Amino acid sequence: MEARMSTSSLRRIRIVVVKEWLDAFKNRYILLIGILLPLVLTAVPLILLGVARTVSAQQLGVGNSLPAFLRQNPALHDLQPGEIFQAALANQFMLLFLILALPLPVAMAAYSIVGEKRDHSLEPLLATPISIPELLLAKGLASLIPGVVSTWLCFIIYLVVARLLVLSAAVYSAIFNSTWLLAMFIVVPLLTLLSVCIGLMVSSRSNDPRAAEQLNTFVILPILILFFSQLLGISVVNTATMLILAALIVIVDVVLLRLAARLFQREKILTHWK
Amino acid sequence: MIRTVNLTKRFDTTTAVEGLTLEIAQGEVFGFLGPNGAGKTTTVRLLSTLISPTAGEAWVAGQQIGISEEVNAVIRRSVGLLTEVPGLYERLSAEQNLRIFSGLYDVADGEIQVKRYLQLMDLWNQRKDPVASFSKGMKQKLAIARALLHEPRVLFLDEPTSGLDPESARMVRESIAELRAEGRTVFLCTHNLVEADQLCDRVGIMRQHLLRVDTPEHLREELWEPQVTFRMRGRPASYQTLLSALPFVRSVTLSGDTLTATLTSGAERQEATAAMVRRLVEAGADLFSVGEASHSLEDAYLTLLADHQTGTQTPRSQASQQIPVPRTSPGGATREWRRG
Repeated sequence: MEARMSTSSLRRIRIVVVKEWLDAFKNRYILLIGILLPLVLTAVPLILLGVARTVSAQQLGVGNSLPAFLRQNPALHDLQPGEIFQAALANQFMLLFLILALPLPVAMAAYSIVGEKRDHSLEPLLATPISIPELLLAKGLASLIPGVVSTWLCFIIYLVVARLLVLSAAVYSAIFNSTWLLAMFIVVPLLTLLSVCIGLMVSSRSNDPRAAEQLNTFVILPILILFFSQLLGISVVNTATMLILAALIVIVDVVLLRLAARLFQREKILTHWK
Repeated sequence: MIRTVNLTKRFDTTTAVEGLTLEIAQGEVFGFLGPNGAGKTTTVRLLSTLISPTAGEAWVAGQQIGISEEVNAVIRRSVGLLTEVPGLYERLSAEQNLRIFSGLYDVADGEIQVKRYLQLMDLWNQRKDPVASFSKGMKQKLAIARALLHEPRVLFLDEPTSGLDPESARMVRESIAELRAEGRTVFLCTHNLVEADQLCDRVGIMRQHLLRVDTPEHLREELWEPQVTFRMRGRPASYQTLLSALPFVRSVTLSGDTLTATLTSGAERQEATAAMVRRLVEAGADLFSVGEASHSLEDAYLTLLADHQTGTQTPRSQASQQIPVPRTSPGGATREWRRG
């Protein structure tokens, strides 16, 4: 019985996820921010890597003035200044990849609910045997999966093209280390989940998906601070930083998931979402 | 099939439904009437387990609502809901819309059912088209198909013929009659009182609480005494006293060429009409039309609501003073006899 229950539960979740994708990917705005934006944000660092390959560090005027923290990085010890510059540049974009696909899940989560409200399709959906946790999970997954997958796809493109652009194999191994893997496979899903929760929560109280998108700035902001502080040499993003970041996001995710579950109730959705 | 006992729903300080006690049998088409904001939608939401009652109890398809999420899910499986606005996925095709709901309701022969209802609603040729390109009527038909797809035992229909062309509206009304014949219970919320009169076995008039439940015929009989109208050439006023003298006639009014005789309660309508016609003809009246003046469900509805608003109860004799409207039945026939 339990197994049967969970099978039908999974089937309902799958149906709603597929429905969300069918619906969302016919929305031009979602397509634009789901495909174009990540591709542009992937192309920019690759172009810069290409530039860094053709222009030496000395020409850029950073040869001997590379920040001390870069020289202290053991992975960069045996590299030439030009290679260190290229590796440092590539590593800067790790943080960019963390936020690369965030607008997509937020927009999807927000539009999936606001769209249902606008089209009055939520009531017939809630009148089916689907349970609220199933619906919440389905809507969350439908928004989360494209965001994570699109980041991973962009990361793969970045990995492949960067291999062709780096000055040496040593640079490549210095760039793509455990910190990157941690960022891509742990922090990205956690951060995307955080965005999805915000998208679901805000759109549950608002009719305007832009409100959710604006609030998403609060997710992007700490990452941008980290990005610029690293750029200015104030902080170093390494495995320890990533672990701390992941732990913090887990805590926020748990809190937001509970809040989202509390807001996402059949009666509240129907009577408060106007 | 549906039973409620003191069902009440409050939202903060507003009472949407108060003390609703109602019983609807299997295979019954029940019309739920009331002005906007009367609590009809809230009642439907309560009975389809979308919201929880503040007080009272209700049973739908043998299950008590609100006992647990599992029981609510069982009820939702037995219930089909047509909301006032079709609420379809506009970017998706008609077929995709139905497939989604067929899956969510776990319909065993989903593909067959989807095809059957698309054909039944005459949407098969447009099945691949996005719903956004559909007319209002087509969307309504698709929403009805969605409500019926899982063959529910109880159907909540909110304005099912709204936006439909006459042909489609007739098709929907016939479908509702078929559903009744199949033993399904239909809870019909409508402002179309002609439709309610035609389709419903009983109607309930709601305004936060239930004002009255009865068959449309009984509601009319309760409110109005039977009236017979005589149209004649010449001077109808001269026959007014003649009719008033009859023991089963309460009063006679004159309007233009028409005499309207209000019968006393308990008067046998056919015999009384025949006797009055005989008297008039014997007295030389040049009758060209005899009709039974009856009131529409709309008259009954408006009278009951007005009574509720003023806190009074219209006595039958007083209600009968209102100008009767020769009744045009949903079939279009006026119960009237014409000479020549």
